[in-house]
Amino acid sequence: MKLKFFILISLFFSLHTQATLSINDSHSKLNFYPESNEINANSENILTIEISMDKGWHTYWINPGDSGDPAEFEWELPEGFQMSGPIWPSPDKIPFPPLMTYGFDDQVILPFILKTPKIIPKQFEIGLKANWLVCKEICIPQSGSGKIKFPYQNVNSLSNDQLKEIKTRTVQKINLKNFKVISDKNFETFNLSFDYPSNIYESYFFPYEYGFINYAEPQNLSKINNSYNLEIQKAIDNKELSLLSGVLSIKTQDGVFNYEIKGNSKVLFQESNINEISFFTALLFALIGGLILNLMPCVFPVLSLKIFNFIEKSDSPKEVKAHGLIFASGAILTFLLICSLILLFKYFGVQVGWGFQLQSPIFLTLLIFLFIFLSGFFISSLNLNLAFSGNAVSGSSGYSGSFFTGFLAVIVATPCTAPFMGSALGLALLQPSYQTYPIFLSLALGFCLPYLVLSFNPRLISFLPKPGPWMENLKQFMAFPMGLTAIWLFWILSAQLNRFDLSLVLVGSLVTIFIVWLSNLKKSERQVLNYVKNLLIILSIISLIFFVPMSSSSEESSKVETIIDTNDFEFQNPTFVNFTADWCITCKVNEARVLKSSTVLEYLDTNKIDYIVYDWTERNENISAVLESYGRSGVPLYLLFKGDGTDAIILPEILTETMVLNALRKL
Amino acid sequence: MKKLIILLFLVSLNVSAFNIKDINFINSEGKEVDLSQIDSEIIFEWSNLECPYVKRHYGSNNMQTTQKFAKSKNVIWITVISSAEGKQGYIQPNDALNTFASFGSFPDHILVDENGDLGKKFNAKTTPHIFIADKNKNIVYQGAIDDAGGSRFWTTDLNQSTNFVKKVVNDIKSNKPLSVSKTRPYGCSVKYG
Repeated sequence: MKLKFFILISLFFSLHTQATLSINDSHSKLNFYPESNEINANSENILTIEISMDKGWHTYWINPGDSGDPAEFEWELPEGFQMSGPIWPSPDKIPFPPLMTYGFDDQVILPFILKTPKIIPKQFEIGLKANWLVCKEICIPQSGSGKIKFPYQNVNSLSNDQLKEIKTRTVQKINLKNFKVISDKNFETFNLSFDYPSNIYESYFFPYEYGFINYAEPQNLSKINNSYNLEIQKAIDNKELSLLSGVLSIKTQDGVFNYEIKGNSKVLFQESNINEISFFTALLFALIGGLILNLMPCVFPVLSLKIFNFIEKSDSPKEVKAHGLIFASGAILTFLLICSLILLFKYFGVQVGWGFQLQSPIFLTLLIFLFIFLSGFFISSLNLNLAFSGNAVSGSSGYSGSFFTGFLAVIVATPCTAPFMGSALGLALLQPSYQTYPIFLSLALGFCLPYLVLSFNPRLISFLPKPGPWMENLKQFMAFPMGLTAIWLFWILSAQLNRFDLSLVLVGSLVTIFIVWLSNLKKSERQVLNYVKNLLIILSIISLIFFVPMSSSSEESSKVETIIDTNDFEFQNPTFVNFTADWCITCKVNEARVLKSSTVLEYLDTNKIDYIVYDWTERNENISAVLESYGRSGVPLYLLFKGDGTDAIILPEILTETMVLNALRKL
Repeated sequence: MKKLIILLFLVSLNVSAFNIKDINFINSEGKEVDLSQIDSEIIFEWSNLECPYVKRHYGSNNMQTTQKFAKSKNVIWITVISSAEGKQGYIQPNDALNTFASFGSFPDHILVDENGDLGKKFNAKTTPHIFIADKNKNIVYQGAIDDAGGSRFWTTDLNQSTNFVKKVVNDIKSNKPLSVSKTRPYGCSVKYG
């Protein structure tokens, strides 16, 4: 019937006529408008009441706010007729500091729906008794009654202004994308969170019922990515938020739009998520995480060079100290640069999370080339520091080399950070930037700590093995973990690209090895040959651009489940949901060790628990939104739905078989 | 479970923990009233005799009957007018007792709260708005006088409506748990300055 109303409302714009019925009271006037001058049997008809008040007076909405009352209408109908309504339009805020009321200034137009039975008399009457309250500074109740005879003669249409008024105040029954209510830990506020395609200037939520919100407190709108958050002060009644219903009014450059919130919303409790980690715990975790990063297979080889450097220079502690500091500043600056990049992306509304780099085929390909390149350098006899520093000859100083090593160490570390620091970085990215930066800084400090300690305590260096040929052997051996990393990255990339593009990446890798080989050639006595060699190196480097795929071209990109609407992110049956990505080591380990084990699979199967996988290997905004709604900025995320509409159970990031089975048994 | 406990704690905290022991004021006769010295329950009635809602409650004798009932149970009745000077409902303190007496209302104290201090402390929003304090001076009830609020107010027989004030006073006097502790106050807005 509600839908019908909208069809009708568009029809009656042209048909509406002014009735003979009009009620005058001291400060306002009530006018009655039927849909047309004839009413048919077995039909739904819109009848409209307009209350126009003296200038500056107002009347109230269905929920009047802190004071006042809505208008009341009593109909006297022929037998079998049914009247429903009014269908309340969206109100305005009418503040009376320190109070707040909701209502309509100057005029309000209220539609009703009249349902007629199968047989109706040729002529009939409808009686109306109305009571309404008008207020300016003071309040004066108004009332009156009258009769309308059908069919009737006078024809006088609603004005264009009135029609416009109806249109802008109509409450749409459309579900907002990703709408949810988020209850804060402190129980003092809650957030309405939703996606909206255009830029919102202002937004306000009008609750239908008393006791949910504190009317007089301002509601604050904030934007994270594409989703908006309207922060609302709770009333002290603490009503069940899932029953919250009302009108969400949104003002954009195209006008005002009103959406009905129906009172069956999904409610999330912020406290069950990551926000439980306090800021200082997050700082500590970031520091420890940074320390652990040093041991990662992708980072360790690069850093081992740094240690070699220390060992070689152990006789000049001053220089070691300087190198340590410069290396640290390179690493820290790079971390902060990445942090700024992510914040910048977020600012422009791009959905990113930590590890987002690995969703870009361009970045992945460049990383593969880098790892192949490093692998080649390790196995060859080139000195990495020399190769990268501008003043290559002066091997003794090479400060820029140290700085670059710091930068390089962080870049190669990125594939490894994602799976191990999801929680801390997730928190970091959800926080305002004055908290994000300290967390990243702490991560960077943890990362550099061993070198800083070493470089400031030269005596510690003497505990390290003495320099010797073993260093060269170890360095060459490091080529293999580097190569392995490249293969792993290639495997991730293979989910994003078609065979042709993948082959191009392989050719690019070969070119990279060619560059290493060229650089490794002994200097020729003939100068021309050296020029040719350098030219070839430059050309090869340039040619690499052509082997970088510019966009993903996966042949079967829809093998993943994509979430269309997070409003519906609920399941009818008991369901285990796995958010994963190919580049997420933790995810793959969990899957191999636990989720694909025969005991778990059998349990899921025999107990009819659905198992759904969402693949985030490629960037998917809907999945990002769901992850964020659970306080995560990355994968893995494991959710257990009971299937009865209750909130999901969140499992830890690292799974064990017993843990999963125990959780499943509770379903 | 943890969530539930916090919730219960907050509910009890918010609805009942509002204590008025430390409040004192000068009444319309210029006498100081110290609430901690009053050894009985207290009913606060926010009023504005020009507000149509208050008028209807007085016109139908509903407010006076309620007041008589409360006084018969030895409950102190304090009428507060928080209208600012020059706004609707404001009366001179020295006229207050006579004005209310002419309506048949005889509160124990009248407070002309023209700065809105007490009104804001209580968070009084409408006229009428009722607050009931128990002997320990904790506010145990706040809200409407009865269930006649909403659109049917103008057509209901107020003397037939469910009177929350009588209900709460009866509950307190018979040591029963309160059947109601908070309702939506209805009426005109308090005319703060």
